[in-house]
Amino acid sequence: MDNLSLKEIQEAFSHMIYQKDQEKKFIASIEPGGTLSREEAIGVYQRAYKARFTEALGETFESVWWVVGDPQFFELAEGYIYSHASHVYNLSSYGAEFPQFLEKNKLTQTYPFLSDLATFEWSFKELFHTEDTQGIDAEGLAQMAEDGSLIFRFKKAFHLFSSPYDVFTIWGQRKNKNKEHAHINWKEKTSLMIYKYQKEMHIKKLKEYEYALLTLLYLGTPLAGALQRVSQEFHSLSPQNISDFFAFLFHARVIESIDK
Amino acid sequence: MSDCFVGVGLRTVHYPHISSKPKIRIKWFEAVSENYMDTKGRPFEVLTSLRRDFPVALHGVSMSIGSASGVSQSYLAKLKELINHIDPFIVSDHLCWAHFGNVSYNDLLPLPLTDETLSLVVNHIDFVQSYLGRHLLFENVSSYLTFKHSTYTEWDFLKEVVRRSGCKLLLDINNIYVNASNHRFDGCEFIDAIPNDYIGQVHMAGFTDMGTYYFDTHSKEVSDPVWNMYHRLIQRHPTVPVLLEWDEDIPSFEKLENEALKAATIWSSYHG
Ligand SMILES: [Fe+2]
Repeated sequence: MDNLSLKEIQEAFSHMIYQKDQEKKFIASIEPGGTLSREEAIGVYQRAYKARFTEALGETFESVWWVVGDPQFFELAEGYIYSHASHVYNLSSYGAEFPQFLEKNKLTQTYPFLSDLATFEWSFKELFHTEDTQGIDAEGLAQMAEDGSLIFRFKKAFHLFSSPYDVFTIWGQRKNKNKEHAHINWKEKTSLMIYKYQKEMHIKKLKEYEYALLTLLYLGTPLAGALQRVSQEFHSLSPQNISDFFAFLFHARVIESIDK
Repeated sequence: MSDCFVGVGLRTVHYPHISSKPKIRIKWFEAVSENYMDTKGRPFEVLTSLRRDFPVALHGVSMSIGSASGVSQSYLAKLKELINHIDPFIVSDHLCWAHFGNVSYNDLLPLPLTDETLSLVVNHIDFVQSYLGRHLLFENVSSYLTFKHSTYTEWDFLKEVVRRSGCKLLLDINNIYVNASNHRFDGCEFIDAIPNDYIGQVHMAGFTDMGTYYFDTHSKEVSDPVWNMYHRLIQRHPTVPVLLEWDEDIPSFEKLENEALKAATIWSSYHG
């Protein structure tokens, strides 16, 4: 029998680990370790592959796991792992498409919030690994009062999140082994800003007008225009509400620069 | 050298302890490169701060030096950036393959020990060492299968890689023991075959007996037979840096240090 080349070995091994197919020529070319059979020796690598990627998903999507429980999470993970090969050298970067994958899963009939919860967890992880920079403070606030044409640039460690479901409360319970998601009223709309302040992660629940205003500003709408649009939509909004919110934004130092 | 140069692997669970700046008894840390290459968050801050007080080695798991589809250029660029930032005293990875084409298996997969593999690995090491502008260390991995058409013993293969590429070995004594049991050879013959100046670092770790094979889990104390093999090596090679790895069921930092410092006690029994 011709010996397999390195490339052929790696191709065959890849097929077996990833697609779980058996490659006869490859199996014949190996000597199993210990008292394992050839198939069992390959099985060690196949199982380790699944376990490693399941663990990676479990770490990032901890609250999805908490909600659906072990058997269903392992089933979801398996479905994802064998339909989404890894293209990243860092395991903790695996799972970028897990939220979209969940969206198409039948479990969303029971847990309509599942995909949004996963999106939130992914965003949180991404922000955790983002560098924190010092945003501008009260000086910026003074400058702002003078000019309505200002455009805000937000720092990298800042993210806006919104969902028709209260995924934030579910996420907050993820380490609570005595509680079930069923006891949480998740049918409430949630808008959040996730950001870093002095290198620590922070999450602030936003009122609807705050989220609307921040979204406009984040997209580069000049200040005066953004304020006008939000005031038209939210009639009860007072100047005090607005100035309190800006005081918070500058205190939280999420704005990196202001352009004219 | 007046003492044994013992370190431990830096793990996330110990960040709070280490950040509180306690009295630390070990001398250096090893960080898994990939955990710090894509982050500017807390892990990066902890490592940067730790580096001010301790020597650090960067130990990679994803270079995939034995991959028939080549080493990733973007991976190397990221690694180089981290090396420039940390200024490690050792940069290492494994003698294995971990990706093929654009698919990553994030595992330390075994290579056939043939002339074909040898020349591919040596070419890749040449390329990587010149790109990074430094010598690297490569670690022997645990395996659960071997290839019938291998023409080298594992130790002869490693020696040939060192001789041809100028890299050094990160000798994992636990992996030697696991492979000796799984593939039925004498681990002491392996250790005795490798000259001192080929060995740039040693790893110690615990394995799990799965009944039908030994599995490299890094989930427990170093076993007695592995300590016995360490005796054999440290007796003749007192200057080699030694590192304890623990990756699953990770104990308190104090227990980790205690386990690592057993290596220093053994060292002292010969050289103290
Ligand atoms: Fe090791």
